[in-house]
Amino acid sequence: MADRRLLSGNEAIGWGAILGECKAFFGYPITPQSEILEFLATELPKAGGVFLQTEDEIAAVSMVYGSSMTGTRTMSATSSPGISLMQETVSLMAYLKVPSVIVDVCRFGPGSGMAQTSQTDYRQVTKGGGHGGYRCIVLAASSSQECCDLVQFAFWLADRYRMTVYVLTDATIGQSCELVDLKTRDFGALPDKDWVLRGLDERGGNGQGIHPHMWDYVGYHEDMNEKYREITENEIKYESYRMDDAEVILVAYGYVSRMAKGAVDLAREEGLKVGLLRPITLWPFPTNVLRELSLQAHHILVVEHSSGLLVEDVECALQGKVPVHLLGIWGTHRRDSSGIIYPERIVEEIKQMVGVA
Amino acid sequence: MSGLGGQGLLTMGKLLAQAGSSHYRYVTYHPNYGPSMRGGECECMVTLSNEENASIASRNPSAAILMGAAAWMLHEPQVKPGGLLLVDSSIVAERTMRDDVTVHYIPATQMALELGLAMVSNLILLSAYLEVTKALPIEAIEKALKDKYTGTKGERYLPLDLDATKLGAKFIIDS
Amino acid sequence: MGEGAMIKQQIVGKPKAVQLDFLPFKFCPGCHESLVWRALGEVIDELDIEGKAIACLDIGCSGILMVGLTVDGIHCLHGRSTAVAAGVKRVLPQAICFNIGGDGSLGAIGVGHVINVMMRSDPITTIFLNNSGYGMTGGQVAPTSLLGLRTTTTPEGRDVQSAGFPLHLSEIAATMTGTAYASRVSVHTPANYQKARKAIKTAFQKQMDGVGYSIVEILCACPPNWGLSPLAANSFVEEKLIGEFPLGEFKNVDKIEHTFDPELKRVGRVKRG
Ligand SMILES: Cc1ncc(C[n+]2csc(CCOP(=O)(O)OP(=O)(O)O)c2C)c(N)n1
Ligand code: SF4
Repeated sequence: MADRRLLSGNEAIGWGAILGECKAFFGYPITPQSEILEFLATELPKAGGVFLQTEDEIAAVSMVYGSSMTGTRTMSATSSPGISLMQETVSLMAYLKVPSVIVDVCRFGPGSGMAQTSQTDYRQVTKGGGHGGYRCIVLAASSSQECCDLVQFAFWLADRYRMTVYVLTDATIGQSCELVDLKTRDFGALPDKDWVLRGLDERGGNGQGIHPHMWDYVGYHEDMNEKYREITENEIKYESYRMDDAEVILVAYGYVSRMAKGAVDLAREEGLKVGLLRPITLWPFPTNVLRELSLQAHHILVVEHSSGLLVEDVECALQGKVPVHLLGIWGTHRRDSSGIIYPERIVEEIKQMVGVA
Repeated sequence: MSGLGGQGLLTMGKLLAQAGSSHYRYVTYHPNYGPSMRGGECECMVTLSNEENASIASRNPSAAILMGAAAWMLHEPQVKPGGLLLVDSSIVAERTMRDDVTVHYIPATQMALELGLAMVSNLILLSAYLEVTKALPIEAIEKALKDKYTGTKGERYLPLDLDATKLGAKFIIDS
Repeated sequence: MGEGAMIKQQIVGKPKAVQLDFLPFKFCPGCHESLVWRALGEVIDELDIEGKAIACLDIGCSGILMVGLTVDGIHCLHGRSTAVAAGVKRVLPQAICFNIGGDGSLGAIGVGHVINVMMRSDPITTIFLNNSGYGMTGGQVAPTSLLGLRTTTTPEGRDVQSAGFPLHLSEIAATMTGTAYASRVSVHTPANYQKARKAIKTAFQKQMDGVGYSIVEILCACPPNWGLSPLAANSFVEEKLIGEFPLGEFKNVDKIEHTFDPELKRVGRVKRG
């Protein structure tokens, strides 16, 4: 029998790192991420990896950079304010094509409080919070199982394309527990890491650093664009749920997508033709998929735990051809920061939208 | 399950989820605590099912264990018609006006104090819930308790915990 | 009221500078941080600086007392309260500016700012709460955690190989020219509490006299994260913490002497318009 355990999203992230052959972790405590840190403090050394609690997130990401340069699979995990602090080095790693995996267990932030669930980092991670016009792949997990699987996939993508891959979750996914099959995933062969720096003893020849061709500045950007195009072509991932005859399409990711799934089931029980599109890669965004699905739809309802960030990409994809509605943070069940958006609330919104009382 | 921080709600929920893991194919445990980590309102929701749990949580659960006045106000109207309410009547004075739900008023905190430790009121309610619904055999909770506490600092409370689980079930059988 | 009753009121009553709405303080049972706030309130009363004091609060348990005093307070990001306080003092030199933070905030993420205010001799006061770990996030290792102490991120106990040696910030402060006052105190007995109060007062006085930077490190019990009862945590301060972090004054000067070589004014490059 497969190893099946009850794990929180945060623990599942830790397991994903171990199964994904992560050999170094650098991080700093922050709610609601700390369980990842605490899990790996115990488990990573047992798996032959290095664990270090650093003095801050800037140091954490700097160590990720150094460690990744030696070709070691390296990860950090933090929550929203920590992601903000990491941006300068993330920009550098994008420029130098250094692979890394960074987990963001999103909270509303700021650093001075409100550590409950939220989805307010969408822009920060999908559009790049740093400088230099780079891209990072963003994988959004919506269950403990996916936390475990997507971290493994993130390591593969990072090595395949030599870039930072974010795994985005939220406090709800991070703290909720579900049964997880602990399985090692294989995503295929990877190119050799011929760029790593480990000292002359290992490689011979002269010393070198990695620096993209600064003598051909435009060529560098063309190369990067080519890489981003290739990723957009090959790596888009999404789930469509009960979409066959759907006239109302919900779009949601992370914990909210689970509530939306519940809402689809409830609405279908009442005879409403509702389906869900759940982007798993937030960048690259499933623009064409959404565009095609929308041909059959009368309404699109974006549900997200923010004031409307994902909705921008949806609107951009649909180019005004189908009306796009938004159920944002005002859909939570209470007005303090512990509120969450329940399926029943989404169904109410659907009914209002399509005019059923 | 809803009440205040410190009543052992999250422990109770996690225990139910853990115990349910070997009896159900899909288990979801969702904790939600207020903006303050110390004290304050606190709740969690557990879903045990053999079909995939589409949603993590629901506003209208089929059963609720309520251990505080605020929890009562929030959740008593929300439980599904045909559902179940278990109320710690040593804390909540209210009585339901609904006739479409089954209600058990259990003076759990009082009973726990008589056992010697207020903190086991959660187990009294949990075992009462299992006795009513038969969602799991009581032994599953006893096993989960033993797995969790054997060899830890909490081990000395284990006999008390096990007494509490018996007491909750007995309350339902006797009533 | 007899003299005895008045003294009693002075001892157990609420300092004027502590906000009534904030009582009782929302710290865990047995936490020493509430005593620190009380001491701060008393010193502010004594020096009569309520109108001039500006508190810069770091992130952590100490920070949740946002304006627990009746003075103005600025809530700062994690580790940055020292820099914020220095900024305030630069534009408002008449203010009595202090920052307060834990060993994570001021010993780890923000230690760079602390070294820099010492170097610049910014006349602010730092209240550094050393509870041998991270309080608010639930007991991870801090720079000040005792060697061997079990924390949630050093489950086998703090070991030198991964987490190094405990940070002695007050001793470092004493080596810096720009520091006017550096001392370490505790609040685990009434006598120690009185000493702590005096230390805070002296530190503020240095600032008011424009001598330079001052820092008071206060050893605090954190019972839940040490896994101890309030009483046991109190003894732990006496038996273990003080062993690693000796109490005392490490520097106390009324004037920071300095000279420079006038020759140097003629060396170096100047850009002229
Ligand atoms: C950039 C950033 N990283 C992490 C955090 C999370 N955080 C909040 S409080 C805290 C630690 C506080 O520990 P300490 O400074 O020792 O204060 P104590 O709670 O012990 O008083 C951390 C890491 C944050 N708020 N901001
Ligand atoms: S966690 Fe520790 S420092 Fe924070 S309030 Fe509790 S005892 Fe005090």
